[in-house]
Amino acid sequence: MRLRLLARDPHMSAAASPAERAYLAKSRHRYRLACLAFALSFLAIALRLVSLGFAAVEPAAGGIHDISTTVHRPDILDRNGRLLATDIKGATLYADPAKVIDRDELVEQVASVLPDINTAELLEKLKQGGRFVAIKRELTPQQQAEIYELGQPGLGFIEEYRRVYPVGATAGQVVGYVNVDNKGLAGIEKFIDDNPQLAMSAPENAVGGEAVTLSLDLGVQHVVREELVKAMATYQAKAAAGVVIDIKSGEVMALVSLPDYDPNHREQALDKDRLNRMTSGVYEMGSVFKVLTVAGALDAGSSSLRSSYDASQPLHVGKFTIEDFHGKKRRLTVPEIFIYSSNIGAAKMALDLGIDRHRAFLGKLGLLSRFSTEIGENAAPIVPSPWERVNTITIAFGHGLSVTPLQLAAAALPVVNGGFAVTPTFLPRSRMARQQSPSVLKPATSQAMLQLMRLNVLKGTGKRADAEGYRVGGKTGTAEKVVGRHYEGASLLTSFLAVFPTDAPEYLMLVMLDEPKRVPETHNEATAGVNAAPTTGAIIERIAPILGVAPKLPGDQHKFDEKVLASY
Amino acid sequence: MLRFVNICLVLALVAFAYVIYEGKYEARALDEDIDGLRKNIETERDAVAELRAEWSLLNRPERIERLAEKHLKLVPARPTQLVTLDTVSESDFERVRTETADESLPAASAPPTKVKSVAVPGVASARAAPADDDLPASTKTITVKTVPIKAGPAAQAASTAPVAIPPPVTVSPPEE
Repeated sequence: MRLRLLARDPHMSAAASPAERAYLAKSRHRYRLACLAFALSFLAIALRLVSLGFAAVEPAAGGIHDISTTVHRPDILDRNGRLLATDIKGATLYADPAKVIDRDELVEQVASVLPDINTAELLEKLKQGGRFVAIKRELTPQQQAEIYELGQPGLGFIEEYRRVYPVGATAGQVVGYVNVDNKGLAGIEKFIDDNPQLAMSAPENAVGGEAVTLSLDLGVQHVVREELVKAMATYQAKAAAGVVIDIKSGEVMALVSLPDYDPNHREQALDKDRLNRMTSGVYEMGSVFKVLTVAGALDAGSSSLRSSYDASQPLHVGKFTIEDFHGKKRRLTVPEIFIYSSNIGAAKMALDLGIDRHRAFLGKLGLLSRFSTEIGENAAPIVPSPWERVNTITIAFGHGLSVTPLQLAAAALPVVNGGFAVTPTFLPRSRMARQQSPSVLKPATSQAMLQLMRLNVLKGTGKRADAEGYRVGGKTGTAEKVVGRHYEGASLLTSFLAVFPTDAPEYLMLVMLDEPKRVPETHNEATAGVNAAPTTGAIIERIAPILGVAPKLPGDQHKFDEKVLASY
Repeated sequence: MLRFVNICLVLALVAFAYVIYEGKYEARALDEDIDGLRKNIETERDAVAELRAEWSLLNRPERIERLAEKHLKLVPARPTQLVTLDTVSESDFERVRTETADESLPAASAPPTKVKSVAVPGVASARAAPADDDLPASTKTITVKTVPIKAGPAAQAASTAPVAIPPPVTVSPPEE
């Protein structure tokens, strides 16, 4: 009524009484207020519409449940960008018992696509209820499509990343492995989990994913492994291990420990026999320790290359008698002690150096404390305590101090690289690293040791390690293993510590064979000179070209012959 | 007047509404396209990851080595087979040069080298053509002129070949 009055207001104003006019004037305010209210509410509705229009429209999810539950891991590449580990996607089939209509039918139909599932067990699990029963992990895309075609309610898929290692066991000991949830359990995989910044700072791989590059060279790694597999079979050894390190940067180019495991089959890794002997086993390494004894004595000046020691009589220390294996029964000079691997001579050199200085020297090389790399902490060395005269004597030739082989290789780096304590690493590092490392030996000592090691390969126990043209230097080591409480003459641990090329050293290598047998190929011997040394030679011959070490032969052997001509 | 303005406004409103709805639907379609493309990229990426894994599986050193042993008649290079320029003296070149020269003299009757087989007939025909044929003088001069030009580079190669590339192909070992 009022509104109608208001609407006719302009025509009626003249005829209105003063009372009416006052009333109308009052109404006009109400009228404006109502208009404002309407305008505001329409504005609010309009704004809401606009805001709804801008809201992102979530795409409707397809029929397949698609949630990634596992973490995406970065790729692992070798130093030349070859793939060592990567992620691919796979689906996991699960059932939601709350949504299942006919359990028996579902189980029957799923079993028709996946014949290897345990139907009774699945049925039992479905009966127990709950909201999630995993049926099978890592389905192939075809199986996934077939399950989807079944159209059974209550079935769903979860997309998950699955770790694959294309090169398998070849780099397994370094790369490590992951558990079923893609978490790193060992090796570099574990290191990546502990250091997430590693993958973030790394350059992206070909498809825009993260990648971690290692110092390993897959080619070298393969050769080392293959030759060690061969050696293990030939010499009937229980185990074998080998490592190749760049002496200037400390980069590990290859690390193999046999028997190894294929990280694609992670259950193999649990086998105790497949542990990484390079880092997790401690051994009395035997005569390769003489490299350190002689280096220590030369560096301290307690012996020189011209010194000589009487090695004609066995050395008696308490109840022990120290004898020489390759006994010469005469006075030996320092180079002779080294190349004939005289225990008596080495022991006397260590005594000349002094018990405290000997221990301090080994400590400086890092042999007395736990050592660790990116692939995990090494086993702690077994250091004699208290350290007495007898300990210095036996440790001089490598008994009485148990260290991991990798630790020994690391300790030998300064001996061959000019005296710099470079720490081994599995990540790429510049060769300038040597300059930043602390110097623990005089360069002259390192030079003398290289000459001794080369001499040993030319004339001493390491003859069979000589790879033609690559100027190998090295030292053999044959240690008797402790079986029970006694040293057992029949079970040996042989090793060879090599450096090449000795005139401009670049790489250090350590090969170790566990319990090689006396076989016809070695003329029924089992010492390092006939098994570890030739294995080292065979490896160097194959890896030196890969590592870019140029062969150098004595002048007259460089023939410009038919074969060379044919290649022009 | 007011009515006209109102009609205009209503029309404008309808027109704007149309444009806005059009734009909105277009944007929504583009959004869906983006989602589709994202999904495709994801699928492709997964496929690439799978293919890369397969590629490195097929390229692992042990397999390549096995295949090389099976299909190639090559062995790793021996250190003696690697010769750098500074380890080879001028006298080595000289020796090889004289050796190949000595051996090529009795082997002259043997089939000529690849390089020579190209050059020799060309040169021979160039010389033979004017002598044998009774062609007009103009044609003769043309053949004489053209053939050496054609044979030029080949003949040069033939003359330098025994020096730069000692032809081991021709030298069939006479004593064996």
